[in-house]
Amino acid sequence: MKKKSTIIIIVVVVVIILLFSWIKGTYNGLVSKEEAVNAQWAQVENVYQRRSDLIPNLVATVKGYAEHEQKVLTDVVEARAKATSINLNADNMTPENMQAFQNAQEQLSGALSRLLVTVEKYPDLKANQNFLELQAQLEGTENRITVERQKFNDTARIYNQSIRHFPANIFANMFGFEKIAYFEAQQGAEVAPKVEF
Amino acid sequence: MKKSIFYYILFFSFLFFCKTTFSQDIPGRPEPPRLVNDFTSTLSKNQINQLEQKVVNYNDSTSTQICVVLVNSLQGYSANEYAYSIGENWGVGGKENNGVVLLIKPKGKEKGEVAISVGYGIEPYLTDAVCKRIIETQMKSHLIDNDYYSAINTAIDSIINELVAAKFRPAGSNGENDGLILIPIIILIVMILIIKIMGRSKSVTYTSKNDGKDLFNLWLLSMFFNNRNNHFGGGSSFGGGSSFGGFGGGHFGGGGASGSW
Repeated sequence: MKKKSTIIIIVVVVVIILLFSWIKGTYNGLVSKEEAVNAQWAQVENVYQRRSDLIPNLVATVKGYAEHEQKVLTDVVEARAKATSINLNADNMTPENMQAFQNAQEQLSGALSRLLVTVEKYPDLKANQNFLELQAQLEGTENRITVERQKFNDTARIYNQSIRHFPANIFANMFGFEKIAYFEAQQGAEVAPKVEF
Repeated sequence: MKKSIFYYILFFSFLFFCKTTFSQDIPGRPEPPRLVNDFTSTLSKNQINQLEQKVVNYNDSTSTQICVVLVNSLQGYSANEYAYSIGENWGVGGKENNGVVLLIKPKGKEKGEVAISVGYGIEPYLTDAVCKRIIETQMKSHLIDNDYYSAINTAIDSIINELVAAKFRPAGSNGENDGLILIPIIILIVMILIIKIMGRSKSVTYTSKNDGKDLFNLWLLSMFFNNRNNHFGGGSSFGGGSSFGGFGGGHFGGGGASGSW
């Protein structure tokens, strides 16, 4: 009789321990996947930041040669101000916010590409060493943006999958893990400002 | 009837063909691993060996991998994208993400294209502007003369020159491995202690003592072998000497520059 009850107690304890370690494993797994998304998002912001850091220099250089292209230049400056004003992190990464972020960045892309088209009219500027280096950096930064966005989508996909898989989805709901929005290729998004010469 | 079967086969083989060509967009990692990969037979064997020797020596002394790739077609990608994909998929560079991919599509009917893609760890030293300058001022004149060997050779020299400030160390010199080897040994000692204590106490009742011991030993043994496997699979991809030991799993972020002629 006594033996029986100890067996029952042991079984219960084992079940509780197993359950606990399973929940712990699932929860921690979700946390580290979410952290991976956050880290990748930081990378995305880095490369966008890199682009907007290049702009003041670019604008100043272009101004020196093409002063009466005021409109194109102010467009770039305004689009940059707007793009840098939108901040996102994992907590507010809803599809709407993501859309707003993307729109602002794409407006900046558009303004930049118009600027670079305008520049074609100024051969002196196109031969300027400083301008050439800025162009090379801008081109590299656009590549980086493409790459980091792609990597962000990949990590977000892994995370989104794991919060929807059974049985992890039960805890995901309980602990408030939410789906993270992807970068979506909009019309023109894949056409990064062409920097050719 | 026969005709319809024929069409089916044609259709499915077409699908299959589509799929295989898609996955072949980027050449697979070379086996055995090499740093200089000419898929176009533009360079002579002798030239390839000379270049390979140079970059392998550089890899041995700094763990920095400069990978040279020549392809006939970029499969519709931009030179930058193609070079980045090679770097990321092959894992060019070591733990510090110190890899460089130098991609050349020789001039044929279409224009020739060249790209330098750099790993994350290289970005501070080989900035986009520096890469662009190497392409425009060092490589272009040779490329226009169809002198691919000199173009690659001077590019490698300039890249090495720019990376002098980086001071990357040779692989395996950072002492991290020693710590990793210690962990399984500590676990082993702890496990042995536990087994000894368990063996002494009388509380183990469900299985006979010997069976329990055997199981533990078996488990220990398997754990030990697992660790060994992991160890061999992970850190030992760099062989010494003059032959290239393999790519180190470096990551790329799209930095670099490209040009065409």
